[in-house]
Amino acid sequence: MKNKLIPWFTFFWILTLSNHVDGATSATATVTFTIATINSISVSGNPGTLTINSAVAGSQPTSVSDSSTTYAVTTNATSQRIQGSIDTAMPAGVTLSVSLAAPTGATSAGAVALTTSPQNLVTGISNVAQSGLAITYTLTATVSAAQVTGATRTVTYTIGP
Amino acid sequence: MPLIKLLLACTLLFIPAITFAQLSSISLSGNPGLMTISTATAGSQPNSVTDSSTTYSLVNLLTGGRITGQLNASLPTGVTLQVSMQAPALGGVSQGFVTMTTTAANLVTNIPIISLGVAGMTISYRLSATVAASPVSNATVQVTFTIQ
Repeated sequence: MKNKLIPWFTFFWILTLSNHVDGATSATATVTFTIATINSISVSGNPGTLTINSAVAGSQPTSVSDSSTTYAVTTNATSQRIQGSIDTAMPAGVTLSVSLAAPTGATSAGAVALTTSPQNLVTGISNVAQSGLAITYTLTATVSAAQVTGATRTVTYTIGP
Repeated sequence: MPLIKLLLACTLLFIPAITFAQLSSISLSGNPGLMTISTATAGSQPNSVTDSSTTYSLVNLLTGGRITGQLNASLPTGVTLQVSMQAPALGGVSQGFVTMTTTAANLVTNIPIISLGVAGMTISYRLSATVAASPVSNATVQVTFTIQ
């Protein structure tokens, strides 16, 4: 009788000494992540046709402006800037200027005459996500500008360091 | 007879030590892949990313069991990690996407006794960041899941 009971006794003893069963009540996962530098800009559309067709006698032709469009910007970096340029030089005597409203904390350069080289339009842009910021296009011509109809220029806006 | 009494006493003494809670267990199929936030629609916060490539297995011997999750450290400013665990088909209620912090939060509740174990339930990790989050490369955080 004693010999038959000893194995059971041993079994329970070992089981409790181990006090452990396969598996764990907790498990851990490691999540690895990267936050990249993000810069994104978009415009709401094209301005309407800019037509110069009047002048005060004795003065240069009257310039025209369009403020119907806006832009949106997102950056998670600091001290970024928006630059603008046109694809082709304006005709002689014609100037296209652009003024961008600054997002919070940034500085607008005001009306800037665009060339084929990038020009600073807004500086000091940091950690913002804003939309509906005004764009004002101003077309100016002197009397030396030849008449032209339906001419186009593409303005490129870039956000970066 | 004395030996039988001794055996009975030992059994009554040792068996409670083997608690059913110690038999509940959870395991993971692995870690999620690298999660990278790199895009945003202009004017909006950066786009979040989600990984649903991993699963978990579970044995539960407690009525009304639950799985909690918590981080080993706080995330950087502007960064949020959410986890959603699929409930076992045999029962349980998923809490959906829950924001992880260093405090344990319920991910699945009301889990019935599942003595034979179940496997293959999906874990989804969702990483979000605002523009206030500074760029960072290959940062890590640990998520501990506990069945209780």
